[in-house]
Amino acid sequence: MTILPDGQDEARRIIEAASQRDVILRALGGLAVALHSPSATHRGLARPYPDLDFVSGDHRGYRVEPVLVDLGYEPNRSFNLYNGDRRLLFLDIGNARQVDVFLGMFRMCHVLPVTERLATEPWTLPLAELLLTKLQIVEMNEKDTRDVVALMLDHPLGGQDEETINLLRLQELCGNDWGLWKTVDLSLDKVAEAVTGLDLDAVERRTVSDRIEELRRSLEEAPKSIAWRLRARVGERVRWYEVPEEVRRR
Amino acid sequence: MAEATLFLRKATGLVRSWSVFDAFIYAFFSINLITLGLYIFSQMYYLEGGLVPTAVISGLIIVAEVVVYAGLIAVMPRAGGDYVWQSRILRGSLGFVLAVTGWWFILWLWTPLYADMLRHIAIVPLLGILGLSTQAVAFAWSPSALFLVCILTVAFVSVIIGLGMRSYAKVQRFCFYAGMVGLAVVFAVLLFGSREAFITGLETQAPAMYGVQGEGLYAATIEAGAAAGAVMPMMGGTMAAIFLAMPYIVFFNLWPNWGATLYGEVKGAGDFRKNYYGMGLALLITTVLVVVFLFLIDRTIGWDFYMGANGAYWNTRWGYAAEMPPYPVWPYPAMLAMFMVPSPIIQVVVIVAMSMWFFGWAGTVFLSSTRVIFAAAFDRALPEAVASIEPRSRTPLWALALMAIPGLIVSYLYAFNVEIAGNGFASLTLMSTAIIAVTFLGSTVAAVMLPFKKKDLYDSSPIASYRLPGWLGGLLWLACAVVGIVYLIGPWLATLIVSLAAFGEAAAAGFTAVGALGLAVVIIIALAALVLWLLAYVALNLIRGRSLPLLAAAGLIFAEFLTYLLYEWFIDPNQLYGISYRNTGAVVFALVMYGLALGIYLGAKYYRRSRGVDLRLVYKEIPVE
Repeated sequence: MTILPDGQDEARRIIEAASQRDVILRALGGLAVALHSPSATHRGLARPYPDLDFVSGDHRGYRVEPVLVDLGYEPNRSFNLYNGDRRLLFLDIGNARQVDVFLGMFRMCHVLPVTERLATEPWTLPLAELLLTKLQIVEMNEKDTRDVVALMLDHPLGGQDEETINLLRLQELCGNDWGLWKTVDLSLDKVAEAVTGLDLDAVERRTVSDRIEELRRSLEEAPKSIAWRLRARVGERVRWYEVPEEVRRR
Repeated sequence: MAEATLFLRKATGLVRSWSVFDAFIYAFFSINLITLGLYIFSQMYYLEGGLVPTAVISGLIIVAEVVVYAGLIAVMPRAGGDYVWQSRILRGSLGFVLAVTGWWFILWLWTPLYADMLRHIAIVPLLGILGLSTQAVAFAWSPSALFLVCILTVAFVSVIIGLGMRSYAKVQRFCFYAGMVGLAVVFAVLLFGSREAFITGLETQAPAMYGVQGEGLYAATIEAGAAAGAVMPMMGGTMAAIFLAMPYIVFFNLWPNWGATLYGEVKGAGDFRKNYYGMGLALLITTVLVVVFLFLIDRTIGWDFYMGANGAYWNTRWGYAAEMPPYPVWPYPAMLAMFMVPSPIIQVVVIVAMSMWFFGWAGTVFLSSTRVIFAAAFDRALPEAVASIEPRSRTPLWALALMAIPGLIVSYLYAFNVEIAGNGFASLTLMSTAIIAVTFLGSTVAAVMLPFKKKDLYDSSPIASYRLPGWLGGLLWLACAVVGIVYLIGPWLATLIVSLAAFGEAAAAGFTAVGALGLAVVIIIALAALVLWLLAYVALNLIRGRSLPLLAAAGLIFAEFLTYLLYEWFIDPNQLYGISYRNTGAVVFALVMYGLALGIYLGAKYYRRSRGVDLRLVYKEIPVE
């Protein structure tokens, strides 16, 4: 089987092939944003997509790995051996591309329960979770910022998932996890500051800024769980996020 | 663009399974006071160096080992540790043979040792507390019982490793906290107890627990110990005697680096300071606990009783005496303390809590080894299947089988003390340490050479700036040279001359005697040559105006210590350790292991070559992180 050079086409090919084998994969990361957001190709937001990232609803790596191998990917044997209970890595040598599959959950700086809503969208995580996978990053980089801006530029906030960033879902997740809320709040600050430096027109800039504010207000006003409140008392005195380490390319 | 708040992260990050604290616990458990420490302290009863100074001074020297391994991990952080460092810095074949013998084969011998410790710190005391005195004593001495515990140990370890690193860390953390609480209680009982209370408790409870006569048990044990030659003092001893005790005590404290093969699964393990402090703190805290524990034992239980009980027990266990010692089981200090506690319920709780020192540690018998096996398999020096896992359970079945099955075979040989070339297999206890020390020596030599031989790699590492100023490097080299020549090579050469002079006598005794003596000569020459070569290698680089890297400095110190240990074990001029060239069984055991490793390597090399894979080229590359 030939791996397609275009990232978006290849992501769809992988998702369809997995589906035929009863494995649910959904794209996340920058490519997932591009699949959803026309603004990802905007002159001020465009960026390369060197990796394909997916999340699987199945934590059983032994079901997921053969799908990618049969599609022509080379598994990173040592990485998959040591980390295959939660993550798998594959390499597309021809296109110098890495495929990263989170198994059963998304874990980076924070743990996000993404798998329970994988059926919501046909190709990617729901927009709310997609946004959160970016906002949960403590050390956001330029690519992350552009992805967030692209998402917020093209999608309003609302109470449902259809081409909308589901505020209720964001409120639920951030309202139960103080650490996540804290990181998201800090990330929104960073994005708000970064927007001023991006090559966007005034309307676009205003749209994103307004949506950032709306999101921030909404999260602030959302009901908070007891665990959230207790953790809030401790606050920043104790580190509230994981520190992931780099997975170096071959 | 607000660059200040954005970062240049290249790829998605991975959250590694273990925290730095988990790695600390692993190192702490690897130099396990309650299992390894108490077990080997009890066997040292006939040595004359004080146990406390031996523990402290050896601990100070082993700081050099911590620096070496923290440095190697920082420069070349790779799963498989010693195997990768040696095969890439020294030579592929050497790295394979030393790593496979030291991290895989010799762990088979550790299996019955682990089981013996479990038997004595948990099963026997619990049987005694429950009033099953006949069963307790029988279990303490029965080879079948020991073999049964070996099977249980292998089963437990296999299960716990199969749980995966995350779950293993949770089990380890629970056992750490429970074990420390247990130890705190034992310390408190000893601290607030008294000699009189101990004697009363011992003589009141021992009859019900172990079916012995209570009255006069304390005095009888001291007497039996004296007859067995129990002389080891708590403090004191000449420096020579203290150093002669070290080849024994390192059975316990040579292992703060045991987690070095697990890099890749520990957060922040590429940070030299984190590794150094993790291993170093484990060593420091353990050494402090040793000193405290021994002082408390001396204060409340009485040193003469403690060492007497040890001497009497091992004297019979090793076959030097036929009669059962007055205190008829292994004298476990925690249980001795519990004699002062009248409540059997509390005794059970404390003994179970103390057994967590075993259960949190037991995984170390196989876990680190599996990573070496994986690394060798990824290099295709072993079949690739051994680096696979059973997909559903994620258990490394092949790697575990390669540990467990031979481990059980060796367990049988050990438990039933099967004779190998005229020597009982149980006499090989210290081989468990010696063979690994050879492997560590390989990595230490690699550490000395690394800054010079792989200069680019070293100079781009996090520890490149850790160098001694010129004068200090020179001074340290001089000190090592004095130690090496005066205290190591000098006495070794004297032994060599004596050995050569004994060839005539050996020839009259037969081929085996000649062979053994020849082996001794080879070992002495090899060790002396290695020390001289290391000194010369470092000297040449110093003369070339290169400052001495900390890694090389620590390597030089630790290498001299290891060569000293190896000389004492394998030549053993004072005949203290039982595994020298005179023990034909030990020689056969070592030859079989190294021969097997070499055979596997050569087999793999020629098989791969026939398939178009040149292992020499594989070893020229540093594996991907």
